[in-house]
Amino acid sequence: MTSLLSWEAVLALLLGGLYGSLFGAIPGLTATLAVALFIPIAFFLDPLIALPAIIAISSVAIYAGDVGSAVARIPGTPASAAYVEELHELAGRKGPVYGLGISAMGSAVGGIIGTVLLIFSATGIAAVATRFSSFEYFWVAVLGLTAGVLASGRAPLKGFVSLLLGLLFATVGIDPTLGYPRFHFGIPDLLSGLNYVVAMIGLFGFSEVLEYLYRGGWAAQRALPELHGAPVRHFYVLPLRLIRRFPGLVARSSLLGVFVGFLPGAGADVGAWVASSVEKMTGQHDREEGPDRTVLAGTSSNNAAVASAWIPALSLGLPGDTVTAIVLGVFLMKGITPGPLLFENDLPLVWTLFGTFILANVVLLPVFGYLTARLAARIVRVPFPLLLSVIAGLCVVGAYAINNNAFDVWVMAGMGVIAFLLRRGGFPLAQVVLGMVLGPILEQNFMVSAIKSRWDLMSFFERPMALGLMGLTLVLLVVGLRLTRRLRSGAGAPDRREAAREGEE
Amino acid sequence: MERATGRAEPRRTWPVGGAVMILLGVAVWLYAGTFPGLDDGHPGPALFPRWIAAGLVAGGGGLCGAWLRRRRSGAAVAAEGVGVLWAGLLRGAAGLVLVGLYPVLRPLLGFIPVLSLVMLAVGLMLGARWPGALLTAVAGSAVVYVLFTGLLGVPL
Repeated sequence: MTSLLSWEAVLALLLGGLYGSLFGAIPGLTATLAVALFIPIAFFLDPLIALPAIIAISSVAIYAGDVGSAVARIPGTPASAAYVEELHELAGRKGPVYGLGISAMGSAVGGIIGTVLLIFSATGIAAVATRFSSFEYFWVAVLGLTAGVLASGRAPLKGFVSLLLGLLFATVGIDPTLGYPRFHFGIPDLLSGLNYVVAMIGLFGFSEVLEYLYRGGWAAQRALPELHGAPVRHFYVLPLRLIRRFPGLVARSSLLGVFVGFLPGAGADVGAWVASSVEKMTGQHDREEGPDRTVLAGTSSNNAAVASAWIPALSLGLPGDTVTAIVLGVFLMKGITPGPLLFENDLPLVWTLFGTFILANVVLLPVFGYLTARLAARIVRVPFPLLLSVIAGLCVVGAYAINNNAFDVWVMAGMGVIAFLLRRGGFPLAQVVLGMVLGPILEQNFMVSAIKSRWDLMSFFERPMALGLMGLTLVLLVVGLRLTRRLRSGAGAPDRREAAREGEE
Repeated sequence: MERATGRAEPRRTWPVGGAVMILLGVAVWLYAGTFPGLDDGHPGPALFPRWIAAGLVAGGGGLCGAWLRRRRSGAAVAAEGVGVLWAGLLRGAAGLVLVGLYPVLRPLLGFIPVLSLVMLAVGLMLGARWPGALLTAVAGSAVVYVLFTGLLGVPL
């Protein structure tokens, strides 16, 4: 812990936070890429400096992914895509500083809850994770998809169709279980599949550019969200009041994030989707504060998942997400063996990591969050046609930079066209990304389970934890459909979000 | 232009969208039929795409059905969203062509000129004035270049 107070460690945390905020805020540059590009530097650093820097990078990058969502409806990271519509709407209605304030404060509180659980129950929770087999993972994916469809509001049928499109896009490339190439049409670049970050840039970013090109210059002269009132009050005071008013929501979302985050291979992206979908579904009646609550749910969940993804990494040596997969590489590079013995042999390192998580959430997120929110508030003052031209450029560069592949630019443009058509038809876009994220998890775990049980499909209902997850899915489905029906029959009043969006047009 | 109706009634986009999804589902089903099965006779790589295809057909059918039910019940069907802005389509197509040409032109002309061209054209098509659009395009491209290659170490 004392090493955290050294000037090298403080500098590493600050620079890590700055670096993470840049990566998170730029479309196409993810927290994973930020950490991956940091590895050559980490190689030359003491692990007590390198690992805290990685924590700072990933924690701040996940939050900063919301900056693009607030300003331009382009999520900076896949985790931000879960609540992009709500955050953009919130930024438009109450100003980007308030929207990003909810995001930063929710991230900080969720991150702290995740860290506390990491500290007190790392080995216990990891033991539960080890009992998850492909059957349970399959049901977790089904649960996430169900929540995603029901979260699409009063037209779950359109949400279902969007989700299927996402699942279809996820099947492009080599089959994850059997290794057979599908839907590549003889194009070698398609063999590795459609990168969902590239798709996300096209779906949310380039489609926005196409939409305004279609509607013409007059539409782009719209009034932009600006700062209303004192920034400190909007960034810190109001969001903290919101958190105080909905402690149950924050606790539930953070626990969902922790639960999803510690499952190897899931991570912050899936955590944010599950928590925000559950909130969208259960909170559909609350039209006034719905977006605030959805953003709070998503952000508290994704940063809780960032912390809990370290639980299996530290206690079992299993990566919870792509960032911790890279971290495990750093462990091995430095000659550290993760696992139960880590807590006996390298206790100073373990406590340094715990301390860094607390510092990242208590200090870095509020400070860097505030600075990026103020920057966002300035960006939205730029005339919208000029801002859109920069967005178009960033879409191109972001898509290209992920793999340095020109083909990705065409994929991004194609996704933009598909999203433009879907938006014209009133189909939600977030469900497409959800399908692309959860599709491979769903298919792989179904096929593995089916093959290992010799196609005895009853085996999906035999394990107690699998049954519990299936029951939870059914409860969610029944409650969600009842809520949707009540919304349809009872709501003569227009759905404010839908009306606002269409009203713009 | 679409108007805010605030109602979830099926529109004319529903049967169009539904028909497209049915056709897509049928195409995926047929194409997945070319994938091999497992040696023991169980479905292989085609299984998951065929589930999706069936779902697309069902979802598309549901959209068409909802629209038909609404029509039969005599409820008003919103007519918005069917008008096409041809000038807008041309602008969108031009933007698409520019972005599509980026990977081809970048090795020939260099990163900053080509990205500037994309940004300038988009800005002008959206009604920005020449000087502002040009300045934003050139300065924006240069900043992006320095940020990515210099500070973040991401090659472009």
